[in-house]
Amino acid sequence: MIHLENVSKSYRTERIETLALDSINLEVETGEFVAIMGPSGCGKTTLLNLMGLLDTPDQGTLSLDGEAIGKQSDRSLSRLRNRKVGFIFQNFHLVGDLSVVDNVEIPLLYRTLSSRERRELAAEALGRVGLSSRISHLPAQLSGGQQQRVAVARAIVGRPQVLLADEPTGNLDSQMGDEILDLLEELNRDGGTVVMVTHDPRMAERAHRTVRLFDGRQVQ
Amino acid sequence: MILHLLRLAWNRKGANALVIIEIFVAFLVTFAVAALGLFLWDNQRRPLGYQWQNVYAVNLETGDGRAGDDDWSADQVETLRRVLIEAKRLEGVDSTAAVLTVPFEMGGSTRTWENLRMQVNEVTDEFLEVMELELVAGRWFGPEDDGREVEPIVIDRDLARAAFGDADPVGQRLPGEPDEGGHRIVGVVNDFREDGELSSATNYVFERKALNPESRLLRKLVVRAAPEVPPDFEEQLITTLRGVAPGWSFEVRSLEGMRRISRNFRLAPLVLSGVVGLFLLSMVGLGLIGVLWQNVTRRTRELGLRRAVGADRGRIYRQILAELFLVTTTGLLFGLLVVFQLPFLDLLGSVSEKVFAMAVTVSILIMYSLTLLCGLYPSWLATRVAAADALRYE
Repeated sequence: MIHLENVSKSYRTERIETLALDSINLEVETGEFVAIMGPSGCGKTTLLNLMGLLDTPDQGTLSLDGEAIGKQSDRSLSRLRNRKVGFIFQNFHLVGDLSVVDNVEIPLLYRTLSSRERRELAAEALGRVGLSSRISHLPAQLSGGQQQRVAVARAIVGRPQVLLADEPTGNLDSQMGDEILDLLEELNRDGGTVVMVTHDPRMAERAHRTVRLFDGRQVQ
Repeated sequence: MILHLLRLAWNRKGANALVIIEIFVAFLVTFAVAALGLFLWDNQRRPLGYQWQNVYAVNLETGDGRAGDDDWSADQVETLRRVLIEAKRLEGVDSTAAVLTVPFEMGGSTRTWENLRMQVNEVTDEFLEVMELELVAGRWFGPEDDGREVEPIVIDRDLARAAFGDADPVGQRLPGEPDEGGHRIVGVVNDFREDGELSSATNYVFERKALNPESRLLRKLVVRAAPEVPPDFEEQLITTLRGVAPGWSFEVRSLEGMRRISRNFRLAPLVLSGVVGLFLLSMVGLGLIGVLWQNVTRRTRELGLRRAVGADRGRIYRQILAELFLVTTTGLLFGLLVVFQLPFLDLLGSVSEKVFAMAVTVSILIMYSLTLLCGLYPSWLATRVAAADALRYE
C-alpha cells in the first residue's frame, strides 16, 4: 500500500538545516495497522505527512497504492490525497462554523458528486461512528471524543484506502481515547489500512506492528 | 459547493457583517454618482434645440430706476426698437431679438397648468432666426399676429408630447389654461433646453412680444454675429448701442462663455461626488483587502485542512473569491432594496427609467470589479498555505 525507500527529508532555515528523516525504509501492507512511535521531534509527523502526500521527500522514493510519487502537479497530488488518503489529527481540525455533517462532507466537495449524494455518504459515515443524532450540531456543542469521531467520519467518508492518524487520542482522556482506538480497529478489521502516530505505548500495542523512530532514523 | 459556501457564509454572518455594510454603503454612493453622471450623459445626447455659436447676449439697464418695472414708456419702447435695428446694422451682425430669458442664464420663469410644468419665455419675432430654432410643425410668430385677440404661442416638442401625445397641437390651446389667457398654439419647434445640453428635457413655451408701451419689459437682447468677427466686436456692439441709447448701460456676454459657466455649474456636483465616491471606494477597497487578508490568516488551519483532504490551489483560490462574491452579493441586495424604493416612491425626478437601470447595472459592475480586485491577492495568499505547516499550528 505504502512503500518508502531511503526516504530523507530535511528542513532549512536561513541559518540551519535540520534533518527530520534520514534514510527511512518502510513498507505498509494493505489492511495493516501500523503504529509509529518515538519521542517528540523524532520525525513521526514528518513521516506521516510524506505518506499522506502533504509533503515530498528530498531523497528516496515513495509510492502509494502502487503509484510512484514523483514530481506530480499540485492538482494530481490533491486528487490522490482526496481519493486514497484519510487524515485524522490530534486537534481534530473541524471547521467551527460548519455543522457536523457539513464538516464530514468537506472531502466530497472535491469530487463530482451531487449535493444529495454527499449528504447520504456523510450521514452514513456519521452513522458508522455513532453520531447520527448529532448531525446538525456545531463542533463546539460536542465533547472532545465526539469531535474526534466527527474527524474520523470525515476521514472515512470518501472511502480512502489508507487512514493516517496523527496522535488521534492525544487530546482525549483514556476512555474517549479507547473509544477512538476501538473505532480505528473496527475500520481496520473492515479492510482499511491504518497508520497511527502515537506517544502512548498502550495505544501502540493495539496495532499489528510498531515502527520506532529516533532523531529521524528508524530504530525498529 | 455553492450550498456549502452559502452555509459557511450564513454561519459567519457576524464576521461578514462589516464587509456587507461596507459594500452596501459603497454601492449606494456609487449608484448616486453613476446616476448623476449617466443622467448628464443622457441629457448631453439629446438635441439642444438651438445654435449657440456666434450668439451674444446683451443685458440692458435703462438707468432711470424703472428697469424692474413691468411697463415701459413709449419713449423707452421706441429706444429699444432702435437699439435692435442699429445693432443689426453693425457689421458682422446677422440678426437680433429681444427676450425675457437668455439661454444658459440658469433662471427663467415657469408655469404649471394641470400638473403640466413648463418654462416660459417671451421673445420678439426675430428669435427664431437668431437662435436658429428648428420649426417642426405650424409656423413661427410674425407681423400677421399683430392685433390678434388670441395671443400666439409656439411650444417645443417635449411640451407637445406631454400635452397632446400624438395629436397635432397646432391651433389648440394648452390644457388647463385659464379662459382669460387666450393663447393659441401656432407652431412647434424641436426640443428646446434653455439651460444647456446637460439639463434635463423641459416643456417649453415661447410667447410673442411685440414692442409696444403695453408690453412687459424685455431687458435682454440676443445678437447673432457672423462666424468671423473682429476681436473688439463686443466693444463695437456696446459703442453702437450706447450711441442709440446714451442713458442706458449695456453688458455683452457671449453665449459660448455662458454655456461654459453653465456646464461647469452642472458638472461641479458630479466632479465633487465623483472625488468623494472614488475616495470612499478606495477606502472600502483597502478595508476589504485588510479584512480578507486577516480572514485568510485566521483560517490557515481550515485552508490547510481543505488542502489535505483534496482541494488543489485552484479550488482554494476560487473558494475565497466565491465567498467574497456571496458577501458582495448580500451587500448589493440590501443596496438594491433601498435603491428600488426610488421609482416606487416616485423620487427619480428627471432621471429616466433607462438611466436608472443603467446606473444600477454600472454600480453593480463597479462593486463586483472592486471586490474581485481586492480579493485577488488574499485569495492568492490562501493558495500559498502549506497543509503540513497549517495543520501543525494550534
